[in-house]
This record gives sequence, structure tokens and C-alpha cells, in this order.
Amino acid sequence: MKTKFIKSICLVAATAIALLPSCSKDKLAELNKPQNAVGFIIPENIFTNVLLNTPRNNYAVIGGGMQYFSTYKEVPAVGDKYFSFNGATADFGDPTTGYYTNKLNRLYVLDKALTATDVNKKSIVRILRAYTYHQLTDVAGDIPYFDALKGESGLLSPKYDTQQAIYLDLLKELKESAEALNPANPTFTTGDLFYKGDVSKWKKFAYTLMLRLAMRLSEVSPATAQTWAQTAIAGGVMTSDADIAKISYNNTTGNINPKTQGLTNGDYATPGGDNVEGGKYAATFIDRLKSTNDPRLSVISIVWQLSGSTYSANNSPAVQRGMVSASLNTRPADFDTYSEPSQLVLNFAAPIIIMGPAEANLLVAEAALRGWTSTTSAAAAYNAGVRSGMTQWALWPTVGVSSGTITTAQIDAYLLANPYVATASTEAQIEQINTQKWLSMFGDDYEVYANWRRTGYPRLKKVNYTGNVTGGFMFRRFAIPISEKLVNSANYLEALSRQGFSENTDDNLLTKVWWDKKAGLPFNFN
Amino acid sequence: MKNSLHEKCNHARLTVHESFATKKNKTHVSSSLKAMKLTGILVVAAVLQAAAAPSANLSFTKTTKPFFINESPIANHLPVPPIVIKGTVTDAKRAPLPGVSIKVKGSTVGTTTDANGNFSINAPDVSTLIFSSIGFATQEVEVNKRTSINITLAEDSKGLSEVVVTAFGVKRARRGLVYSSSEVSGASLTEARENNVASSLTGKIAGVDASQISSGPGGSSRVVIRGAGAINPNANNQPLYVVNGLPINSNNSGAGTNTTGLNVDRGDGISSINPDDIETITVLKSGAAAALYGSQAANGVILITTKSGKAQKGIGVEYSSNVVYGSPSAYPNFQTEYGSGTDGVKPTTQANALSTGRLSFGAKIDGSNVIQFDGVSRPYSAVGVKNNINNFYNLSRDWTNTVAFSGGSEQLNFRLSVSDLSSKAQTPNSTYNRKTVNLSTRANMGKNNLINLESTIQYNIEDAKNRPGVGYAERNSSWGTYLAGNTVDVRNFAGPNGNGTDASGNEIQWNPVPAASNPYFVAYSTGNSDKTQRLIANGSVRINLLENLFIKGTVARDFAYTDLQDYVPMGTALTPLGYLNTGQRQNDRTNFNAMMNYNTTFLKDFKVNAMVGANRERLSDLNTNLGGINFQVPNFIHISNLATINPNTDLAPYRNRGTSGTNSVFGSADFDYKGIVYLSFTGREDTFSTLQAGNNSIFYPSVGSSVIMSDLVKLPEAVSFLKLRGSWAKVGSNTVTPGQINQVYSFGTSFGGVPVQNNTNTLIDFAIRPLSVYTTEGGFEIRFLKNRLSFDATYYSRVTKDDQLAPTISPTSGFLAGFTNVGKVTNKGIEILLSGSVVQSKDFSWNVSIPFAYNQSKIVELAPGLTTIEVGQGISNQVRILNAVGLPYGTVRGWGLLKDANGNQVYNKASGYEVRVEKDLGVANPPWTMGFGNDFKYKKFSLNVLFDAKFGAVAYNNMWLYASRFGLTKETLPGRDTGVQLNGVDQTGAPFSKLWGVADVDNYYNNLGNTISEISTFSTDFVKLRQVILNYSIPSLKLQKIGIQSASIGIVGRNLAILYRDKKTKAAGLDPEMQQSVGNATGTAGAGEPRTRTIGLNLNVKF
Repeated sequence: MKTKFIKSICLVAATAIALLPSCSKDKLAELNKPQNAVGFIIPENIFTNVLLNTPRNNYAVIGGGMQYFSTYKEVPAVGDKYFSFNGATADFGDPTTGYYTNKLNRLYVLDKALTATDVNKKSIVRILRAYTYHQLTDVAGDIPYFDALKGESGLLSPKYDTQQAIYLDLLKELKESAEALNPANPTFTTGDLFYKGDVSKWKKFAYTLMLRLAMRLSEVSPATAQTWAQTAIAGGVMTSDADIAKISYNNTTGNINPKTQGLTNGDYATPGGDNVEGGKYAATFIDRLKSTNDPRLSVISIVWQLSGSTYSANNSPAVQRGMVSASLNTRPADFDTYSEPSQLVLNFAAPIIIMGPAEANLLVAEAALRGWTSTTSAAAAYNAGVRSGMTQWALWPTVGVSSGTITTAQIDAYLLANPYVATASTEAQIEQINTQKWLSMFGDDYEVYANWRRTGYPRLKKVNYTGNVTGGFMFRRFAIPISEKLVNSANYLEALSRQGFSENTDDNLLTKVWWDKKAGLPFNFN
Repeated sequence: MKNSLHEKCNHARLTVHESFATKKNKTHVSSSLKAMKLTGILVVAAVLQAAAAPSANLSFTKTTKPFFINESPIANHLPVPPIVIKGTVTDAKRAPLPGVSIKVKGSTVGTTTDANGNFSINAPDVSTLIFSSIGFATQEVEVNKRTSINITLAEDSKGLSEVVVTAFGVKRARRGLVYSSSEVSGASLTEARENNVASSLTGKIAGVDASQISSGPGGSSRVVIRGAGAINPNANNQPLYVVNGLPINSNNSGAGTNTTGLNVDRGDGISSINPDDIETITVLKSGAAAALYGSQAANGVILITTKSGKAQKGIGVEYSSNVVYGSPSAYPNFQTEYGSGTDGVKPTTQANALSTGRLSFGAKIDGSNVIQFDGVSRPYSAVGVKNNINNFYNLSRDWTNTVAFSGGSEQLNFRLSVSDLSSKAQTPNSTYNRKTVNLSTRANMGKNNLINLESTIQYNIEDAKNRPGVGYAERNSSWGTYLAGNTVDVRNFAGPNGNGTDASGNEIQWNPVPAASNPYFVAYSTGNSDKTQRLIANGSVRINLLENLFIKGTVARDFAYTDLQDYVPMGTALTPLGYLNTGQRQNDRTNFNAMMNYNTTFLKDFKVNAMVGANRERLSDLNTNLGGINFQVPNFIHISNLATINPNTDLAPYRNRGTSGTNSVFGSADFDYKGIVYLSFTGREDTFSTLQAGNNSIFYPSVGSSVIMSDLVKLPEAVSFLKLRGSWAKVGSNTVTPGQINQVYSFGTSFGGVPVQNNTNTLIDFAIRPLSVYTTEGGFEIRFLKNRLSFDATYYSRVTKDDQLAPTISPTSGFLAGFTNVGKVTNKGIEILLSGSVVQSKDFSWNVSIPFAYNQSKIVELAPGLTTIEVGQGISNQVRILNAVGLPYGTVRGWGLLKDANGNQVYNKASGYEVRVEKDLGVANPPWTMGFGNDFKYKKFSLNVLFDAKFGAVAYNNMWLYASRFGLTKETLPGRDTGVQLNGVDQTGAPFSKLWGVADVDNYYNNLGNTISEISTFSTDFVKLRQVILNYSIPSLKLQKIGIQSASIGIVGRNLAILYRDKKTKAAGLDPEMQQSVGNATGTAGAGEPRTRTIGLNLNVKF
């Protein structure tokens, strides 16, 4: 009897032990259900993310290097003093900002979610892909292109393609996608932060980008440049401010301009000289604006002046002065008297322009100068470019003493005082056009940097700061991430040797990319 | 004595009465008593004894009389009449032993000795008494009609009959273990205590590499057993902590896993355990030992058994108090010849002094008055980093008070302890407090102890304020204290308010870099706090169905809730408007366990113990965060005072919940032939929720055997014991976290009302499986000279295969790697424990214990086409900690000077700087670890002296990198007066020479220090006098008059002396134990609180 009792308890216990895990098997899978995400893609909403990730800026290397900004400190003086190579590495794979892992991957995911009938959407994806790739190859030279983004099919170590091959394919991509755009077919709507679904404007975007890419080849392959410039101009580039591709931010949670936020938090902390990294506008930039009575000076520049215990912004052109690049290594006593970005520039609600008619017109001007187009004269296109470059500031909300409204009268006066000199030498005209580009495209760091390498303008002040790592020259490229040496070794090394690099990374950044061929200029002037 | 007898009789009466009540028939009493077997006999014996006693209880007599008188057949079962046996139990030194358990063999009758070692027991005059006590060899004594038995118990340091705790709290004879198992007693952890128990293990157990980072009281420990095996940079290489049979959360709960960024070490799971509550710690190094514990046991298991109540007489109150003071163990050796400034000149203006605040490239020190960062002129004299360190830091103080109450009977006993640890860090204004209540209850119910109940509940409140920073300059008061210019007194940074602020409440800057914070501002004006409440509860029911069969069910839960706050106020140089971050963490780990255990003897000499069971584990983590930037009103630290709650920063608000679970079945069978040959099998299958069905289960077995050779064959007389053992085991493990292999798309903050969807860019391997760790080990234990000398050696091989790892892939593939099964890592090594009794006499004894271990790790393979993976980086990426094929785990790769074939330095012609070359600077984990423990006893004194050594690893020291860049190190002295003349070759091989002028020497050394990380990489070899404990037991005779059973006082010291360190490390004045990561990227150190030498007092009183 007792034995039977024990036996039955054993049986119950054994069964319980056996059942304990199995009875909860279904629940086990349940535990891993995602709780804060969905399992499907809404293309429209991924597309918005793509656009939000499009703007790039590089304050320390390019902002300093193109002599918009200067700093008395060393650590943030990568572009100001060529003090180190920090930050001059192409961003291939940062998990949240990398060109391949974030921008191009997102375009890939978006493209995959579209069907073949989404011709407009697919074309816009191709245009944005071209925009992204050109920016990356411009700083990094040869990069993986044709075999890139194929990780899902198992291709983990893509070969590096030549910049030449990449450029030619980008131009082809832009042509095909621009031609495929058709206003009659469906497209992105509210998710399209640039144009709210206006396909005709995307077409202008594609041709303007094509013109930018075409002109990039002016030194390395003038014939190719001419052909594609003509195709682009014939296709129709941006002409009016309504064509501007931009993102409009506002000062609400999640909608803040990331660039001004970065500058505010990292460099220009609070009004009144509290720029923690020692940054100011560079003399090269301010002197130029000041000497030409440029109306943009009082829009973008202020001096914080102390009266009593409070600082107030003064945007009067007379008080503006820039700090001479790489001239200092300690905080100067007159640090407060230098110009810095106005509150309008640093506004969290400021827009970011991706591409606009100011650039388009100046590109056309240079094409006309070179005789590649006869639709307009260089002078007319230059003047149109200057006008766009000034009127575009109206997109910026007024903050404090700075207003972005520049009147027609002001522009007329500027053009009268600083006319386009069509009689000057071709080189002088190229200088005038491209120096104007530097002024008009303030903020578009990567494009200004590429244009400087192609044309040699603006004229940068030569600096040979003691202890600089380049012998006094601004970098001509960014490095390819050294991590590639570990994970894509053979292709990486092949790309380096093809472009004349040594494996020693310290002197790589003065070698030039394929299209960087302009001879006869030192690129740094005294 | 009478009371005891009375109780016994009452017990007997009840037992007999019950049998009447059940049967309701006197004639069946006889058979009923037969069924009661042994107890029945003893009941009768006890009853008879009681009846004969003049003080016998009347009611008792009434009930039992008819039974004895009328039922004559019972008499057949009666043994010879019991007698009262009295005696005293002493140890080898003739000291009385209290609490010795005495049992009549084959019965449940038992008692324990009192405080004077006296006992009294009723037993048949022909019977056997069993004397047992923890730490002593169990002895059986024939009564043989004696009424007085005095015996001496031999100390069981030899472990012959020692019992060890193994899986699920099952106790087994050490003799039969098929693997090596190491134990540390609780006492040795409490005397010379570390707040984090795990850190105390260093130097004590062969093959266990334990260390603590200098991150203040309440910081984390790092314990690695037999080398790191998991290549995954984020995988835990630390062992599983098991308290009273079931696992607790033992993950590191905060930063401190790297040395970059805002680092505060908020402790780990084990840091909540109060050393006073620990009875023993058992370290299971072997896969075979750990195989039953499941997937988290792949890195070994540390079993903690907490103290429980014991049946005892009188009150059991124990009070202990321990206070420990700590001061820096080492000071950097900086130059004292040239003062603050740059270009070889003294600062001339306040602005100038401020902008060179962290540079010591000034003029030769001359004592003249020179303006400083705050505009005050002070002598241009060397202050010395030692003075700055001593002036800024306080003596650290850790004060623990514990009161424990215990008592009860064999049927029901308990222990309740209440403990308070109050710590002041070296860093001013930084405190840590830990309150612990621990209640342990045991109950035995029913006949034959039919049901055993056990329950342990620990509740903690840990309250930390302003934990010190570790790592980089920002919000790290150590950075400025170590790196201020060498003519600057750090005390002047305190300012008029003493908290690093000026008259307007803004941070006083001492250098031009706002990120390089003011130490006083960090300590007094910024703040972090965390408060954790933690409940670790464990309850089990064991039903002894038969003498050899039981079932047991256990529920255990580890629940922790932490409230965190971290802020920087308005007026901070780096973030003038400040920021605030708050968060709550809730971690919950629940285990349900059921098991059945059966043992039997067959074919006369074979014994078998078989066990089957099942376990269900559920984990839940809930993290919420709320933070933002820009305070609006000063000195008001609250979310409502923030201007911006910003989702685009790391202060973004979030709420993340992760749940996971593992279901398991397991079983084991242990065979024993005559106590000579043992054979052991285990098996377990785990099913994981975080993997996809079909690939989410793994079965893993183990097999082991041991043979007591000394009982099998005749060995030379000198050999008293020889055991051979060998085992093989596979342990499955899974490190994939909840949701990690789900393809999901989340939504971010909408943009102007338009939804924004995110995609992940990881390449997900949906077919990822659990990883496996294979362990093979063999060893022997040999004892000589009647067990006085013992030698235990083990060889092991541990192979980690198919690790779950996200191998770095080229981002140009469009993806970052997701987790997949790759890689193979081997750890092979030997462990030796030499122990012996050097002197053993009546008054004096000296025992030694020498653990020694060598571990050779090797990355055998990574993913196809992948030869290197990065585990972590030093600050500023100056070094990378890599796992590279063919190299040991954790190689420190950094930059050295490039020389040409003729040994000439190669220079960059353009810059005039040295050309550098990437090279391997060493390994991050020490392959050689050893200890040398000495226990001396002289009469009432005991002295423990422990030496500890580790060899073979290096660490990159970021503090030293800055010291080199800033001109603080002696290596930056050459050329200060004359300029630095460089001679060598340029990159083309042509001769190169350059003179860096006096004004440019600072640039030259700045670059050199910054680019050549080899300069800042040090050997971490050391031999240390790890601890000395001197204890005095106050003679009990005197104490008993005031009601105290025993008392001892002691002086303790930890990390007392660095007996050996590498020449370069010594010249730099660094403590070789400098690593500051408890993660896998060891081998890097930033700036942190000084490592300490501690000295303290111990008081222990038992009532």
C-alpha cells in the first residue's frame, strides 16, 4: 500500500519534471516577439528617413580647411592648422551615419520594398544614390561601387572601383532616372520633404546634379565634361528658389536642425563668447565679405559685445573681423572681438540646402565660359547665381539682430560694385565664379571642398603651423578607413596601390583623387 | 539534561500515541511498530529510559504503560537498555569544540556539544556514535558500555571525508569528485574584506584570475576562470554566480566595461552579496562540474552557499565589525625640473597660464613668483603629483557592521543577519552604502524528516552617491588631479566656494579644454547617484519519499530595481547649460526547478546516485530613461527644469523591455565502486527563446571518472593518498539577446507630422545556433607523510567553438555584421595546488597553500576570410584590443617607432615626426597567475600572509599618454634647453636630420606621446603582498563570565606592498594592476582613483 503510494508520487513527479519545460514551449517563442518595432516596411516612411540622413557637414576639417572658420585651439584644428588627421577619414561604416551602412543601405532596403511599377519612386532612389555616392568618392577616391551593398547575397568583400568608372556610371544613372520620371505615375507624397511629390522638381534635381558631376571632370576629361554638361543643361537645371532641395527644420523635439545643434552644443555653446572649442569665423571669409560690402555679412556674422554683464549681438559689417587661420595657439586677449555665426545661422529651425539654383547658375556660368553651352552668357548666369545665393537666405527665419532678407536693391548694389569681369582672363573668370560659389554655398562643406580641389578656388591663406602634419597643405582627400585593411584587405591594398598610396597612412592625405588634376596652382596662397 | 530527556520522551509518546490512533487496535501495535523499524526501537528505548527516570512525566507513563506491559512480543525488538553517555569533544590542540553533531548510528537520535564541548546522549550501550563537524574528519566511536567518552576530532584539512557542494546544492564527498573543485571559506573573505567578494579570490585558487578596477567602493570585479573563451566583444567571459543552488544576475550593470566616455562603474551582480553571510564559496572550473548548470556555466560557476541556522543550545548572536582604510598604493614619477608653461617659458598673463594649464613645457623651475590660471601669483616650484593626489583624495573608509542571530532545533532553525556597509571613497563627496538583511530558514517535518523546507531571503539596499569617474577627462576628477601642470597645486582649483566654482557659480577652468574638468567641480558640483533595491529569494521543498529517494522543487528569484540619476549643472565649462539624465532599471530572473534523486546499492559493492530534473528560467529587463539638456533655472536639478528633452542625443527618452527564457531538462548518474572507482555522467538540454525554433536547442553531456589509487594498489608508505581523475564535457551556451535576430523596423520621432521609419543595417543570421565549449581535463591528487603534504595538478583543454559573434565585415557590403556562428578559441593550461602543513605542533602550526596556473589561449579561427576582430579600443584609438588568428585572446595592438633595416629611426620628411608602425605590444590577460598563502597559528594567535602574482600581460595607460604629451614625464626632458636633435632617415631612406628648437620641443613631445602608444604601454607583471591578517582569539574562559562564547580581534591589510614590478612600470611609478575594464577589452587603463593599500581592524564576538 505504502509502496504503491510512493510509486504513484514518483510517477507524478516524473511526469511533472517531463512536462515542466514542454508545456511552456509555445510561450518560449512568445518571449522573443518584438515589442518596440514592426516587421514590415512602409516605403514612404523609410524615404523620409533617407532624406533626413542626406545632409552632411564637417565643421572641423572642411569648415576650418576652407577657411570659413578658425580656432585658437589645437585639438579641433584639424582643418585650421592641419594639426592631425582626425576626422579626415571617409565615413564608410559608422552604424548611424556611415555612407554604406546608413545612407546607401537604407536606399537599398527602400528599393527592395518597391515594386517594378513604382518607376518614379525607384528613379528618385537612384538619384539619391548617385548623390550619396558622388559625395563619398569625392573625398575617398576609389571605393566599392558595382559590387557594394550585396551583403545579403553573400558578397562581403567587394572590390574597389575606379572613380572614373563610378563617375561614368553615376552620370548614366542620373540620365536614365531623370528620363524615367513621369508626373503621370504615382510617387512619394507627404514623405517627400524636398518636393512633396513634385516629380518635375526631382527632374531638375537630377540634371543639376548631373551638371555638378559633369563639371567635376573639367580638368581630367574636358570632353566628357562637355558632353554631360550639355545633356544636363538641355534636360533643365534648377533656376528659381522654388527649385531648392532643402529640409526645413523647426525647433521642436526631433525636428531640430542637426547641424546647428552640433555647432551649438559642441562649439558655440551660449551667446556671448562661450565658444568652447575656441572657434570664430576665419579672416579669409570675413575679409572677403567685408571688402566687397557683401550683404550676406550682416546676415551670417555677429560680434558678441559685452555691455555691463550681458552680451549683445552686433551684426554691423564695420565691427566684423575674422581670426587669421592657424595664427594662434592660445586664447588671444581680443578673442571676444572676433566674428562668429549669427543666431540666424545657429538657429535650430534653420533649413539645410542640399542643392539649389545658386550653384546651378554658377555651374552654367562656368560651362558658358568654357564654351560648352550657348543658352546663356557666363555673365548672365553668374549674376543669376549671385542673386540666388543671396535671396536663398530668406528661407532662414529671422533671429535677434539677423534677418535673412536681402533686398533686390542690395543685390543690385553688390553686383554694381563687384561686376562680373567677362573681359578678364579665363582663369580669372573661373576664379570669380568659383570664389562666388564658396560664398554662396556656405554650409555645403563637401561640395565646396570638392570644388576647391577641382578649381583651386577660393584662394586659401597659406598656413604652416609648427607641428602641422602636412607641411602646410590642406588635405586633398580623406583616408579610407583602416578597418578595411582588416576586413577587405586584398581589395583595400589594391585600391591603395592603384591610387599611389603607401600603406603608411600618415602621408596619404595629400595624394589626389582621379578628377583632381588642375596643374599650375599651389592651392594655398599667401 | 533532564529537559532534553523530557523532550525526547514526549516525542516518543507522540509517536507511539499516533500509531495507536491510526490503528485503533492494540493487537496491531506490534506490527505497527515493526513498520516503524528503527525509530520504533528507539522510541521504546527512550520510553523505557523515561519510565525508569524518577522525573518521568505522568501522562506519558499512562499512555505508554499498557503498551509496554501488555504487548510482550515487542520485547523481541527491544535492544539492550540505553544508557546516558557523557563526554567532551576537543580538537587536536585540546580546545573544546562546540557544535559538534553526535548521532547514534542508524537512528535519528542526536545531540550537539555545548560551548565547552560537552555532550550527553542516550544510546544503547552497544551502539556506535558518529561525531561530525565541518572542517573535521568524521569519527565513529563504539560505545561499548562506556558512559563517558572523550574524543579528539582531527582537522580535515586533507578533505578525505570532506563534503563539497555541487550542482543544485547536492553535497558530495570530495573524494569522489571527477574534477578539481576549490573552496574558500567565508571567514577568509570577511577578515580581509573587499566590498566586492569576487575580488577577494585573487591569489587563492589556481586558474582563477580575479581583479578589481579602481572605481570606488561598490565597483565591479572581473573574474575569469581558465582564460576567456568568448570572442564576442560584448559576451560575458565571467563565471555564473549561483547562490544556494540557483543562479543570480551577475552581469555588470553599468559602464566600467570600457575606458572611454562617461564612465561610472555601478557594480555588478556579485557586489550585492555581503561577505558576512557567506558560508563557503566553491569554484567549479571544469566543464564537467558546470555541465549541469546550463548555458551560463560555460565560463565556470562560482557557488555561494550562505550561512544558515544550526540546531544549537542557548542564544546564537554574532556581531562583527570591520573597518578598513585605504590610501594610494603608488604615485606616478613625474619630472620636477620644468614647470607649467609652453615653449620653454613661464606664463606671463592669466590667459597664458590658463591656456597652458595642463602643459609642463615651461621654464626651468626657479621658485620665482609666476601668475597662475586664476590670476594669482605663486612660486614657480614643483608641487608634485604625489602631493596633489594626497591633497585631493581622502583616506577611503569601508566600515561594515553585521549582527547575526541564529538558533532553533533540528526541526526548525533560522539565521537572520543584518548588515551595514558604509563606504567613503577616496574621491571626496563620494559615498556608497549597502544594507543587507538575510534570513535563512530551514524546517524538517514529519517522520524520518519526510519534508525539508529551506528558504533564504536577502534584501539589499545599495545607495551610491557620486561614484568616481573612470577613463577619460570629462567628468573625471582623477584626470585633472594627475595631469595638472607640475607647478600647480590642485587645491587652488577648489576656488572660493570649495566646490570648483567661481563667484558666479561657474566651473573654474584650469586649462583651455573644457572637457578636462576641474576635479573639485566634478566632485562637488556635478552629481550621479544610484539606488538599488534587490531581493534574492530562494525557497525549496524536498520530500524524502524513501530513505534513498527524494524529490525537490525550488523557486528562486533575483529581482533588482535601480533608480539612476546623473547631472551636470549650469555653469559647467563643457556644457554651460548642463544636462540631466535619469533612468530606472528593473531586472528580474526567476528559476523554477524540479528534481528527483535516487540512490541505491547493487551487486553489493556498487552504489549509484541518479538524478533527473527540469528547470525553467525567465528573465526580464525593463529599462527606462528620461533626460535632456539645458537647465533654465540654476541649482534646480529636475526634468521639469530642462529646456530640451531631446530624442537625438544619448539622453533620449526610451523604454525598452527584453524578455527571454530557457527551458531545460537534465540528469546525472554517479557510480561508485567500493569508494575506490567513481564514474559520473551528466546530460542537459537547453531550449532558448532568443533563437529561432529548429536551431534553439542544444544537448550537452559530460563524463568523468576518478580512481583512488591509494586504495587500489599498494603504494610506498610515504604516499598516503593518490587519486587520478579525468573528465570530458561539453557545455552549450547562448549569448544572443532578446530580439537580436528579429528583422524589425522601428519608428523614430515623426518629422513635421510625417512618420519616420528606421531599418536596421545588420546582416541577420536567422539560423544561428548555440555555441559549445568543450572541456577535457585530467589530473591527480597525491598526499604524502600522513596527508601533511598535498599536491594537486590538473591539465585542461577548453575549446570554444561556433561562438556567437558579429564579426566585423566591410561596411561596403551595406551591412554591419549580425550574429553568426564563427570561430574557435582554445585555452589550455595547467593548475597546480601545493599545500601542506610545514609545522604542526601543540602550540604552533604553519600551513601553506600555493596555487599556480598557466593558461595559454589561442584564437584558432575566426570567420572565413577574417583574421582579426576588434574587442575594444584604448582611449583615442591609440591601441586596439584584438583577437587575431594565431595569437592569444586579447592582443594589445598599438603603434611603435618605425626603424629601417639598419636600425635607424625613420622620419616623415614633411612633418619632421617619427614614422610609426603598428605592432603587437603584448597580451591583455596574464597567462601566469599564482599565489602563496601562509597560515600561522600560535596559541591564540593566527596570522595569514598571502602573496599574489600575475605575469605576462601588458596594459596601455591613457593617463600616461597625456602625461607624455603634456611634458610631465621624465622622458620629455631631453632637449628642453637645447632643442631636440633628430637623426635618422626619411621615408625614402635618405639621411634625415632635424632640430626641433626649444620653442617647439612641446610640439615634438606632444606628437610623440600622442602617436606612439608603445610609450604608454606597460608590463603588468607583479608580485604583491596581497594580504596580512593577524587575529587574536580572546581566551573563552574570561569571556564566558560576561556571557560571551568567543571573541576575536584582528588587524588586516590588503595590497600592502608591490614586491616586484617591471622596470619601466616601476620607473613610471604605476601600480601594475592598472587595467580598468571588467569587460573583454582588458589591457587598457584611463585615469581613475588611485589603487589602494588598505589597513583595517576586525572584531568578531559570539554570544
